[in-house]
Amino acid sequence: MKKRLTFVFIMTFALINIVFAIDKAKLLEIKIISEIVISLTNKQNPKVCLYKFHEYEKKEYENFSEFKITNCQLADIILVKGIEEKISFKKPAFALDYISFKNCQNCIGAFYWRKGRPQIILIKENLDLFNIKVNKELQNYVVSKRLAQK
Amino acid sequence: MIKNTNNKFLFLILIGVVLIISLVFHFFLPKIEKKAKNELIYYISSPYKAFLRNINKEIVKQYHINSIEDLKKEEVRRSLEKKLSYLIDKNVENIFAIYKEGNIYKFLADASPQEKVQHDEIFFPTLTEQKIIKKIYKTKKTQIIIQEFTTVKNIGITILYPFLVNNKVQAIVFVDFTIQTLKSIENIVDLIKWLLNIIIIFAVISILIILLTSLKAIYFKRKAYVDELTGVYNRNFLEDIIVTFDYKNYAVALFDIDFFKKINDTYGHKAGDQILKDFAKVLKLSFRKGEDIIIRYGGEEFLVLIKKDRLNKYFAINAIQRALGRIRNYPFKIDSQVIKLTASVGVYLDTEREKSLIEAIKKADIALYKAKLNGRNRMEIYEEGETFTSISKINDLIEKGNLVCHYQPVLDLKTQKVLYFESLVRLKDNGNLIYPDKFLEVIKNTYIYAKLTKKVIEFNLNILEKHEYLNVSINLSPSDLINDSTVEYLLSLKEEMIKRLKLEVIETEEIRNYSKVLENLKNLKAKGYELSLDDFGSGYSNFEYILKLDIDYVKIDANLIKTILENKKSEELVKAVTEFCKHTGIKTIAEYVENEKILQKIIEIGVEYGQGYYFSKPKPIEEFLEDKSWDI
Repeated sequence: MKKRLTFVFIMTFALINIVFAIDKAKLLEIKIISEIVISLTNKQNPKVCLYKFHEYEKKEYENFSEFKITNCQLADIILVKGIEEKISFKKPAFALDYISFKNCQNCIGAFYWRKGRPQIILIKENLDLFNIKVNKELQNYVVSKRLAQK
Repeated sequence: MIKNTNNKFLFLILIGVVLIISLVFHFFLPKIEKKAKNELIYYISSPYKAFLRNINKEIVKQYHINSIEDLKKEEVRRSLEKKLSYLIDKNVENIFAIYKEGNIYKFLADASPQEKVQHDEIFFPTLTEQKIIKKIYKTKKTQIIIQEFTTVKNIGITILYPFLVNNKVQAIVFVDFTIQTLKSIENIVDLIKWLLNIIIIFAVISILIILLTSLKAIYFKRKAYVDELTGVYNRNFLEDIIVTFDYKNYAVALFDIDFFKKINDTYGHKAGDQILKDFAKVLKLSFRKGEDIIIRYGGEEFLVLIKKDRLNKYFAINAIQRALGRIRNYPFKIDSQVIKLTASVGVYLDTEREKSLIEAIKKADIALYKAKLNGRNRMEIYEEGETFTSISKINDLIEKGNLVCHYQPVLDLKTQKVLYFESLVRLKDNGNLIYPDKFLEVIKNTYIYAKLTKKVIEFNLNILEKHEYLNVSINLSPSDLINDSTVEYLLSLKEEMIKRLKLEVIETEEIRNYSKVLENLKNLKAKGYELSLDDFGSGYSNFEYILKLDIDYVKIDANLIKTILENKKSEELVKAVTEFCKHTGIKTIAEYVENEKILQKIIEIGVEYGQGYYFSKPKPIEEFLEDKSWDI
């Protein structure tokens, strides 16, 4: 009985730690994305549409970002992920994985991980398409469509 | 006091040790930790670096690479990926190469086991990596980065290798080690750190234990060395120093409280203990702290090791004599009752002759035994094989009053009438007489000399009292004239005695306190004493006396009179002195008048008084009194 209790206690403790660790990484990612989106929309509380996001992910953004989560018609910007076919948006879209970035025809940029390193890419032509000005900090990540192989 | 100083010293050492250890922890441990970490990383990365160098050489050689364009060829990329894949093991997370296009980096090849990237895809290194890459382009040297957990995922260490073509950096190969690799290294470093901490803590504890043990040992040793009752050293101390002690520079004195057993029997042991405490206190007061060593040698026996004075052999004797005087005068108390105590002392001075301190103590013990045999309340000095009479024997004879004065008359050369008799002391030893040349030198500069002077004065006072018409002189050395008790004694005599007791100032020793001699002579003269300068012409001080004092007689030095007949200079000098004395109102006395010729010569010169064998040898006063031919 005592051994079981100890096992349950250790497992619970380990689980809490794992969950906490995931949250920490996720929070960091949400923070980076928030900063990029605020900068691109030039709004402190931009209206954001989370395209193809799970419900729990939407909750995370609701809780931990400055975004007002809304539908894509009302949104200032659309965050997309999990897009496996070619697609275009009428509004500025920002991909959160490399595949979506490749498939999203007019995405203004993307944030994803490569070789454990955070990657931010902003496509010059698409930024111009939506008349979006980029501040000095993000300027380093602006590349042409050709370089980005889109 | 010594104990406190030691405690403070040890306390400071403790603080010092703790400070040093703290400094080691604070400054050196992080450095050691960093160095150990770097060394381990270097050790792990070395084979990869060597392998990358070989790949670089092989690719360049095999495909005749001259530029980045050559490297970007499909065949070359595949070959590079294949070769890089040989480096993959459980520690490697990613292995890939990038190249620079404008300001952008792109993937050249990717041999990573997972998340394989298409070539020419854009790659943004982290800010730290960007800085390092710039450095690599400049230095062409491999760099290693310890990645920050907050900027990269699952990567602990990255090797950035410059792919060189014609000695130019054309690409950078990244070898990412897993976070577990870094953690393994950190675990080893932690283990080293932990071991170091354990060693340091162990060292600190050991040092503290050693220090505390030493402190404790010193405390207990000190406690073991000191006699609890009296506070002086005990025999344990003596036993510990007996081999190493530099006894040759010390005189050895054994003090024994006279009739101590009676005190114990009469008043009880508690009273006895109090006496011992007080006795030790008196000894402490009598000897020099830090120089002389007092040890409780036995029940009521105290051993005193007195450091010798190089200039004064008898320094120890004087110190002991002062201690004996203090003991005699000290009011020892038993409850409220004051009792007087005496002590016997055995002294051994010539410790340099002995092979050990034990031998020296034995000699002092023999002398102590003698002191007890001779009636206690005295000091006996152990001496052997001397041409002079032993100092203890002289002291003994003087204390027992075994002395006598012989007299030699000083005559008016015109009338042949005796002016006065000069008293000359002799010691009596079992019917034999000991003359001054055998003992005066021995007791010079000791308290015994003053004691002798006092006895001589007493003897002469007795003579003067017995024979009212006699005048006598006594000899006083400068040491007598700086001795307050001798001078006070002379000043305290009756006027009648002062008129008949003349003082002859002799010049036989070095005088250290000249002004005091002059001052006391002035006082004596003022009191009414007639002063005579002995051996005039033999030393400088006589002239000082002549100039500064109202002198009555001058005794012309015997060496001048002895040679007056054959040495013209002696005659001239005697004439000059006589002439000078006539002019200054001082009467002249010629010593060493041995024969008729000398007598005639000094009369002719004008000397007024004479003394010498021609008139009489020194002899007991009674012989002069019985001989009616003397006009006394």
